[in-house]
Amino acid sequence: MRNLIAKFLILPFAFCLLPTFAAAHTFHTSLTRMDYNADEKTVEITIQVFAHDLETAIEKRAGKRVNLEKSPDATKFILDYLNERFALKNKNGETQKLAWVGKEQSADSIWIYAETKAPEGLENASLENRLFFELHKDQVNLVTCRISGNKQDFAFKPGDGAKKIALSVKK
Amino acid sequence: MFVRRCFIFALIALFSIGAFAQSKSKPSDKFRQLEEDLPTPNEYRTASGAPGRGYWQNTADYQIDVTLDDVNQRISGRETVTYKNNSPDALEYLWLQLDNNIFAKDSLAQKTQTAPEFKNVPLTAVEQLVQREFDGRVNITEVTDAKNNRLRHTINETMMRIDLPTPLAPGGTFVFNVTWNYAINNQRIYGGRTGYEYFPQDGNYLYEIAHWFPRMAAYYDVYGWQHKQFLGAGEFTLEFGNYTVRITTPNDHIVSATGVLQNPAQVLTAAQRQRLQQAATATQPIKIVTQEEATANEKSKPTGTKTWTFKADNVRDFAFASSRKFIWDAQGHNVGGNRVMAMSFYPKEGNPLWEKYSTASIIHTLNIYSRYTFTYPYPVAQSVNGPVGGMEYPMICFNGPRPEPDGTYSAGTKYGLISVVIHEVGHNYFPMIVNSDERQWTWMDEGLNSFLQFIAESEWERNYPSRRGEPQRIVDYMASEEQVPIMTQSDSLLQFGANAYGKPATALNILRETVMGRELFDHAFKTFAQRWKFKRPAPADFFRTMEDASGTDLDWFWRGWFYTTDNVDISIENVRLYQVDTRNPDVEKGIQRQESESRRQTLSNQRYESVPKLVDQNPSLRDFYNEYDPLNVTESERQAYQQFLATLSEKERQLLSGGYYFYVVDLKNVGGLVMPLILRVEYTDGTGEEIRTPVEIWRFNNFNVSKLIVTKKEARSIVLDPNFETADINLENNYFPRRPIKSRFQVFKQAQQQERPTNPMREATRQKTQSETGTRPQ
Repeated sequence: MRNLIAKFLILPFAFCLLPTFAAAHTFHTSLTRMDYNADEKTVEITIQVFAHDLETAIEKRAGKRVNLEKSPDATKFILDYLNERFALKNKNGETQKLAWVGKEQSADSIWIYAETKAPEGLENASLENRLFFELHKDQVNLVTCRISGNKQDFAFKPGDGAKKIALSVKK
Repeated sequence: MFVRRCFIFALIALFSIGAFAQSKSKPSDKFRQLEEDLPTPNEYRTASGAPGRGYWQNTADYQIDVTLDDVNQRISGRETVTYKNNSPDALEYLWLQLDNNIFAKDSLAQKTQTAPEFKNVPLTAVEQLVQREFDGRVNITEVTDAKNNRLRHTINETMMRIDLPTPLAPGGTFVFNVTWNYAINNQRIYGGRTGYEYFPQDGNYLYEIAHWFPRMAAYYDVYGWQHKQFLGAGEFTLEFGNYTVRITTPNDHIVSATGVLQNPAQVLTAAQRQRLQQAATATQPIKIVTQEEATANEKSKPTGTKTWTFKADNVRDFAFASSRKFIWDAQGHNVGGNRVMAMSFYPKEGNPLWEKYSTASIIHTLNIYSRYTFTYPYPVAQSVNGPVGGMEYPMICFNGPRPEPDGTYSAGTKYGLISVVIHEVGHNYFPMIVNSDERQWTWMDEGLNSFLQFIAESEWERNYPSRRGEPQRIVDYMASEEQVPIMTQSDSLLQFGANAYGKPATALNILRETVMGRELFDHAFKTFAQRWKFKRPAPADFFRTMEDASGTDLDWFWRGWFYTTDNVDISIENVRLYQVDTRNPDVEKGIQRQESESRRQTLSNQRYESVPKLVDQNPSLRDFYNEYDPLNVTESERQAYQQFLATLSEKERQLLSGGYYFYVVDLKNVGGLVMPLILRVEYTDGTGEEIRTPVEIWRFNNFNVSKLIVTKKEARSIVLDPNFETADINLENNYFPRRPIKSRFQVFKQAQQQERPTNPMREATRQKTQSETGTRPQ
């Protein structure tokens, strides 16, 4: 059993295990769209999350209250969190760092825009999306990946690792 | 009439299929009637969707004494329940809900949780994993009949069965008593639709107390006893009844509860009573307890207890809130002739947001919802701020949003509060009065309520940032994987919010705006609400009433939107143009000449144009055929045309020379849901026209149809769903000729690149917005 043991951090900042937004928000989902831009050889990523979830996740990481609309560090916080939990890996298994494009906020959702270079395309690349798994046991992260008019859907649930992208860029 | 084909638009599709070509291999079933899936109508529920002549429901009246222990955070109570069996069946036992058992240490909900992810685990969570000390189990200490004889009872998790000494006959009444107590959950740690919040700064507690007493489970004609275990997602359905509840709390608490306070003289100060009277006719919320008074009260120590008595008639549940921290405002309002007291209760942590928006949102909700359903029938409507994010009970709801400690708040928090108050107050209509079975069907109350919430938000302010209702906003969900149909039991829903709130709300909005029109829809929707007010409808009753009252066959809509996970993706595959052959040789041969000449301009011909030709150098080689042009009009052709014209009436002659364009638009149903076709034709002269075709165009072939558009103008382009009203998930195939569609990412990135920090207007707007939403209003 010993080799199966993994250390995990305990954070002093108290947060609820099951944050509840009863009738208004008892569900835990994020929606991501990834498009391969063949001209720029980049991957364009749009992630829609609940503002409440993102704030809770980032506060937990930072160990303090964070207002994502006002904090000057919001961009850094979000990007760090994304890079920790959202990984696009190239065919050699190397994680591509995400670059910040921007964010938009509505009543309760935040759209995060990020991109990453993929000069070799996405052949044999893989994807991992563990957003909010540390908060919600019933989190489902849906990802739609589009390359040259073809589409692949993914659903990531706690316990899921990286999944292979089975789409190729038309030559 | 002779028709000629003329290729103005390039053919995009490789093949085009005639209207009937596929119906043999792919059975057309999208319009198949629903009656084989819906329950057979009977004397309880009619085929028109109304309660039948034998409709019945049982009632439960409650007399409850409850004590809130603020020192140990416990509830203890004793109730007398008068249960009336209006069913045609003799009942051997009664089932009661003990929903608070969800907080038992070993509850079904606890035991069936899956493992957490081990990475950066918060301390409180570890504590729970290692040793959860809190046990919120309900201790039932006594169950007796009216003569205080003990009754046999059995507890199965969140349900309790009381065995009756003799079966309760139809029409009979059974009176029994239950005594119980339990520890209240810290909502901030254990979550839930009830619980307390502790404020370490001032050492006080705020309680939002719900499903706190053993409640009669519903017994009804569709399911018998509704005793599906409470796992947290599927909420409740209960019996209507009259309540008298006496709530004993520390004597410095303010209590808000379902119903009307019966003994203000004993629990309120003279000043508070006088302010309440003033509030009844006020045009602005009046403070019954001001922030200064509430803040001063935070430092108070109780010197005893007070008992608040509330009465509520014809409600299906009862909840309350209590704290010494409460600020309290109230405003009387006339809703369609019914005087309602709209009231809000919140700690100072909720201000300045709550005093500005909570009561105003309650009143707005009552106005809008009453217009589309029935007049709000209860005397009070209350909104309470506490730990619960958003949860509804009759006449009272719990709402979470609060500003920052410095009093500033984001736009998200502001609209989050207004929206959640509208939503939770709106739940008075669905399901508190139209008493659908939430444990079975979440969409029946959440979907209908979210739909009306969208209307209320649209009438709150222009461009209100509504989350649900607009078809465009459901597109990502509709396109996604991992879905179940709306008609799925509450505890098994995937993507709960989008499935049970967003999709049905959007579907109803589409039904109203695109399929039926507002007049037919609103009448049918209101008919449903009025038929089932204070009764318990099932899904079929809704489907049937909407059709019955509007005279519209909607089986295809319910089938597609509620029973499948198909989406709307209709594609313009091809557009063909036909024109009338005028048979006028001067016109027709002229067109033929144009075509043949344009085809002759090949690259070789162009290059040979200037090369000297032999027949020019040696004219003796020329003969008749060098001069003959088959496209020259001959006199005999002209005569034949004139003879043809003479056989036509004047009207027929006009048709022939009218210059009509016949566009045939070939459409393909890619996503599976059939929908009305909304086509916008843009003409070469810069004008345009919208052509709306009812969904029945798909009835013979659910996958491919061709729509004919007759016009006197030449079309430049055709757009499907130009107003984004059908939730079409793929816009790329909605254009002819095709247009590239920018993704949300590209639109955003482009806007970013265009943004200049020197843009004074944007900068000013931004600063203005910041000062409006970022600073405390004076």
